[in-house]
Amino acid sequence: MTENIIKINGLYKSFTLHNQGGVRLPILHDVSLNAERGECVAINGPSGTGKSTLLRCIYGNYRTARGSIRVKRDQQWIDVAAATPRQILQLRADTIGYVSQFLRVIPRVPAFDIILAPMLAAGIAVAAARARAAELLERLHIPSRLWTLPPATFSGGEQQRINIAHGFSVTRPVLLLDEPTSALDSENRMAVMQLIREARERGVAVLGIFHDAEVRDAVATRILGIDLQGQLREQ
Amino acid sequence: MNAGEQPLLRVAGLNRSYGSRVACADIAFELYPGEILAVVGESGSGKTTLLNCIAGRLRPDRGSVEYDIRDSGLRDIWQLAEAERRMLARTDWGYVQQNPRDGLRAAVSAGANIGERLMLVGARHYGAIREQSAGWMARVELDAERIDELPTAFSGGMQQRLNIARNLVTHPRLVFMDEPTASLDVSVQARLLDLLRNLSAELQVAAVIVTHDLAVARLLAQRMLVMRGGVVVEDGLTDQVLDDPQHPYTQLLVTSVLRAA
Amino acid sequence: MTTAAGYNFGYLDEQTKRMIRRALLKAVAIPGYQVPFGSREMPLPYGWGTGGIQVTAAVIGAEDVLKVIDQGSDDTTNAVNIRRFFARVTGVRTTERTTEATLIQTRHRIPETPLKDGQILIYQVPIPEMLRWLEPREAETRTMHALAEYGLMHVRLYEDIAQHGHIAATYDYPVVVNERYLMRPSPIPKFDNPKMHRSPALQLFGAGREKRIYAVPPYTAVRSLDFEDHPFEVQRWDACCALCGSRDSFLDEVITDDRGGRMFTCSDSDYCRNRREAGHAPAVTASEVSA
Repeated sequence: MTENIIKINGLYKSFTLHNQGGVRLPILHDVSLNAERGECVAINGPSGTGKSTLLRCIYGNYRTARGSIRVKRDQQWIDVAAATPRQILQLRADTIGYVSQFLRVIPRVPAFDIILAPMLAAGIAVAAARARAAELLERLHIPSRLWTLPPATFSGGEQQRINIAHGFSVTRPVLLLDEPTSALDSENRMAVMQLIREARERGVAVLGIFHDAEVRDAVATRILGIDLQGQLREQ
Repeated sequence: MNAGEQPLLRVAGLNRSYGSRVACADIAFELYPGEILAVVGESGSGKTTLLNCIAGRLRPDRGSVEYDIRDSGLRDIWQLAEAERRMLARTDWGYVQQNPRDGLRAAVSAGANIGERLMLVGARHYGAIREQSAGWMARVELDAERIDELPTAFSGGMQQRLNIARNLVTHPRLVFMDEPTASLDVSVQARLLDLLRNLSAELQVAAVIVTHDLAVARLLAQRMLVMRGGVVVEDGLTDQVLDDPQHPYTQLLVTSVLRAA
Repeated sequence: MTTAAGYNFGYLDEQTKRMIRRALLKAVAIPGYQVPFGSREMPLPYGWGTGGIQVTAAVIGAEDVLKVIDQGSDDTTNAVNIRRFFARVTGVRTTERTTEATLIQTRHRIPETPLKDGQILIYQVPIPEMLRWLEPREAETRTMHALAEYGLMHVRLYEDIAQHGHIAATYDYPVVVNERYLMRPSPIPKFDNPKMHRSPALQLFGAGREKRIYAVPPYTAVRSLDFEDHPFEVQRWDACCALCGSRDSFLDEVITDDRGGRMFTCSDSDYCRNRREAGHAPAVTASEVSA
């Protein structure tokens, strides 16, 4: 069963810094990429080559200058590069998940509720959502005394694991992972790798950046490299 | 969220000047049910004028402000009779001022302040009004035991929560907010923002929030407009505008924020 | 017709009376609506009934019989002065008997004796705007009247109950006239509010300082505002009138000595005298009431 879910075609992205003399930084150059359900594509390359930028463009967090980023939702292709804000919000709600490197902490909201929120928004029953949240926190070795606390005071590794639990709480057909294991010990890396495998088995297309070669080689079904010119090629 | 849904508010070609000074020039946007839109910009950028024009408080010179009135669909609020517009403003809309004292009646108790809108639309059972007031005090995290105290007996943050309860008691579908946290201490701001975030998720109320604080926009709004000199210079998803600003002014705004910790 | 030399009948010049009559006609046509009028300087200060006097002067005719009461009494300073004033400037007959009068000017009471067809009751009004207590902006209160947005009045009643356990307002109690306009009945006790409802008499209200006239035509509905679970109620007394024994009239408390002695008597002096003349007497003595 191979089913395309992402089709990126001729994508360009650059940044213009108006307040620094209008200097223009080209990042992505004519990037094309297809991804299918159930595969895990690792994006590889030296730092500063635009790996994160690519993920953010797919998530609609960055705007694209040229090219298209089509994502399939309800049997329809939606071009993120040309979508309205509402369409992007819809994609984020039910089609594209994104786990960034850093948790954006919301004041006063306990860790458990952060993980619960996307499930409740997706219409999952409260009891089932609570069970799933507890399961994720246990698998990621978050001590239960922390569950009811806001993560603002947690360590970097703990915050990252809360972020991962949040990202994996609901199953969306596309999952973008930006260095999800950067601050984790080996035990938790294993847990994340298992979560990625489970997601793939459910037919999720995973696009990830993994700084850790061991993790990358274990989870990736395909590795693409970005070079310093911002071009993407199979490795 | 449904793509075929009709907007709750549709603003087109809105212009407003004070003499020769242009406060709003050709503003256009749509707001959908349950959506929160932040309008950011520095003082004098025209954001409060825009808010007042769409909230029925200041008549625009040109352009239309259409609102999806229950039962009759999108209608230009400035074409409505004054009685209809006032009815909208006290039932289907809310308006939260920067200074809570501008929204509250200082001479009557917290309970009367919250119950006012109910009485304005015909509630005539004291016990029922009081029960609703107490319920709303609890929802905005105020001690319902203090229902008979005057607003002046409450702290600034509590007053703003009281003001919010007073506005939400009729279950409005759209709330206008003018710098709702600006007059509060930082610690109190966080609590209020969190409350607003929860209420908006729970009640699915749409909001237009005027603020100069990008953190407020980031936390509450899905979309934002950046205004400068009466013109919208950039708009889009909040995280898009803040993380990948395109316009020189937006870039300046984003890079000017002091980041603590 | 005997009027004081050098004055028009009824003191005011004909143009002024005409202006006031036009305001009165409009007021009668729109029951409860406050009609602005060009209030004149009168030979007594604002707050002493200048509004009521101007209305009386504009409607009084040579055949009228005038009664003036202040707090229900015919013999207080204000009542005596105004009665004497009109006797001088019109020469009309004056009376203390409610049943004989065609015109009754009043401050703070409605007579206990039910009014009849053809009688006119003229109220002296200090402040005509009922909504001012909560909404000081005149432009806003006028808009509220125009659009019949009167919920704010219930905010005040709510607050009364919240602070006192019941609607504590005892006088100047808000009413709705003809199910349309909110009206301030002048500072009459709420005990008198039911007498306004469908009264056969024409009721005219004059506010001299604020230059407003309003009216309740005969047989017009006048409803006191309330809550479903806190219905409108009038005052009741445990005592009866120490002079005539009445248990149905509005009683004034009279301090009789400096040792806490007191008694209650009818505020309506004419009503009390009629009862005494008819042989009514208190069931208990004044000293027993004070005990």
